[in-house]
Amino acid sequence: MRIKDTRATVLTIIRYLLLCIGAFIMLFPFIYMVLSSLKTAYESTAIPPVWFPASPQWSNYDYAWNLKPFLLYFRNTLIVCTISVTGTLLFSILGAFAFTIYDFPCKNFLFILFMLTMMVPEEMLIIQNYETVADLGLLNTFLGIALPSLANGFYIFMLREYFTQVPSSLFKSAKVDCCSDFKYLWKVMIPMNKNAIFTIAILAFIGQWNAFMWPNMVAGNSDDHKVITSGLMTFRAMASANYHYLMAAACITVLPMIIFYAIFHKKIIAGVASGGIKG
Amino acid sequence: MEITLKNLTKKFDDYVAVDNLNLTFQDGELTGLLGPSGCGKSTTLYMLAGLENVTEGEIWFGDQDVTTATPEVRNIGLVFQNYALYPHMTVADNIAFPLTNIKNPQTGKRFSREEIREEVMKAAKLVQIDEYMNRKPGQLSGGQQQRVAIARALVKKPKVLLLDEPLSNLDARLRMEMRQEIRRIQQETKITTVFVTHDQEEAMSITDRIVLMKRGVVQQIAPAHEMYMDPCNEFVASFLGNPVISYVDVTVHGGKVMLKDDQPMPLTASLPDGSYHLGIRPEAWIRGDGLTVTLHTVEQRGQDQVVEFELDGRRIKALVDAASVLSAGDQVSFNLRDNRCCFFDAETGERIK
Repeated sequence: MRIKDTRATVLTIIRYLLLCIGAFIMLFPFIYMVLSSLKTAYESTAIPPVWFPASPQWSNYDYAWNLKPFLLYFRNTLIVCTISVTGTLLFSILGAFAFTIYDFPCKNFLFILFMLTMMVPEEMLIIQNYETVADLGLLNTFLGIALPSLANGFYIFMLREYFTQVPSSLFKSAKVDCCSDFKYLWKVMIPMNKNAIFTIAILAFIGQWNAFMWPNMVAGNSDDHKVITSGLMTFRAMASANYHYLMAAACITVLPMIIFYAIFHKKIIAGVASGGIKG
Repeated sequence: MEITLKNLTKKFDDYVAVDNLNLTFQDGELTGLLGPSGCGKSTTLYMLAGLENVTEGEIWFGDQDVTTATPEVRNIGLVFQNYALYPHMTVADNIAFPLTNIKNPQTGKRFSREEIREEVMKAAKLVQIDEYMNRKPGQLSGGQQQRVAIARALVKKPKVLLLDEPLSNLDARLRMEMRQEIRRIQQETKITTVFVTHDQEEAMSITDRIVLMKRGVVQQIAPAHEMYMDPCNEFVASFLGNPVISYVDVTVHGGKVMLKDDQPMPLTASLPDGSYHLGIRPEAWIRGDGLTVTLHTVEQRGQDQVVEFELDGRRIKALVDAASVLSAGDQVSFNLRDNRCCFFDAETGERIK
């Protein structure tokens, strides 16, 4: 018994040690970013590297904030995210509901088609999508930026898995009780699966927040529709080798996401665990 | 309201689930749809509810043909085996749900909050669940959930109440209690009720009439007692009763009934000479001097004992009162009560009277 206890303790210590090392490796760039954002120009490029700034240069943040309209970028990002999350929820809920409740011709074939979209990398579609959005006259619009993310095969698949776990007798019972299909969706299916739906909303939000290439292409050169990721990109071009400013700008852009994670971390972890993908 | 099924047939691809059903559910009666699993009783119920399409035939609610009508226009209440309560709603909201979907037939307008509260309370009182109005279904026992499901089915005052194996998810004691409750509620509301079950005891104990089905075909329609005493074939005779009826091969010759080895049975029959299956209910055996057998097993049940012996190579079960305690190996003599014995055609299993 004693030997087992000791061994368990040792194993636990080793386990935590490994986790600590892993966490440090993951966090190191982040920590270095925060530290660098407070350095002087000399400190940030010194070789050998200077770890801690002699005196924190808070003015870096002031400079970075005023160099580019970050507030506008945040607003733009929020607008795009809102459109994207709303669309994703609307289409995944309706899609999953249809695939769960109704019988229609080619149902399975269509569902497989939806699933197959998960296998096509985003980069492959980007030129085609660009042409489509350009034809629709949606370049330089928020809708154009959000459009490709409005419907997502994976979320429909994921939500359908939840919906099919609701016993069909509930639907039959609702039908007998004169409930419309839409009311059943609104009053029964959505409340019963609100956790899954919330997870999808969070994942869609994070995905859109982090999206870079597509929004950058559609938003063009003016700041009017630039989202935060492409804003940071243009900042980099302007700040060139001034890494301390760049790091300060980077810190500004990740701050909302950190707050977001802090609030929703349980839901995010649950969502990642159930969905098997990262945000 | 009377429900009439005319030549009702349901096919799933090539499989005939319900085969040319003709029957009438009487107004205000509790009818049991009884049969082994796969006999088509639930399919019949779902066709009544409009949840399953009819392949052929007609369904009439009173003088209205509802064969192709959708569930929502049929005005029925349906209780599922798994209760199908909405887990995120309180008991009160669950019961109120049907009322939020329909208009008040008296005023032609939507139900007001007060009307809903009143109707929900009435239904809850009827099924005696009014103390638990603010609980969620997950916080209730199976029996209580069943009561909620019945209240929800009844709250919109349907013309028909359909119950699909409503008691099979309950434990034995609750099942006894709830079946009496269903009977009480049905008699208080006088609603035409169809009750699907595979449990013969359940069907016998509370229904006005039983419809016994086998492989999609109705075998017999009769009140429980009549069906038990006067079965129309071997299947019906075997399905009802516990312990089950026993059979022996007999020949009738000049009114005398004999086993195959010419051993006479303590029984006479006014049947043409020939071979028959004789079905003997366990309670047909009474102590006497007609036939002496050696007991194989004796099972004590308190008020009586079930004994088993062999007759002509067949295992026979008999019920003996508990006055004298018997044990395996005892020699016992019996007579037979002829009104608990039935003759069947040896080939077809049809009843011969």
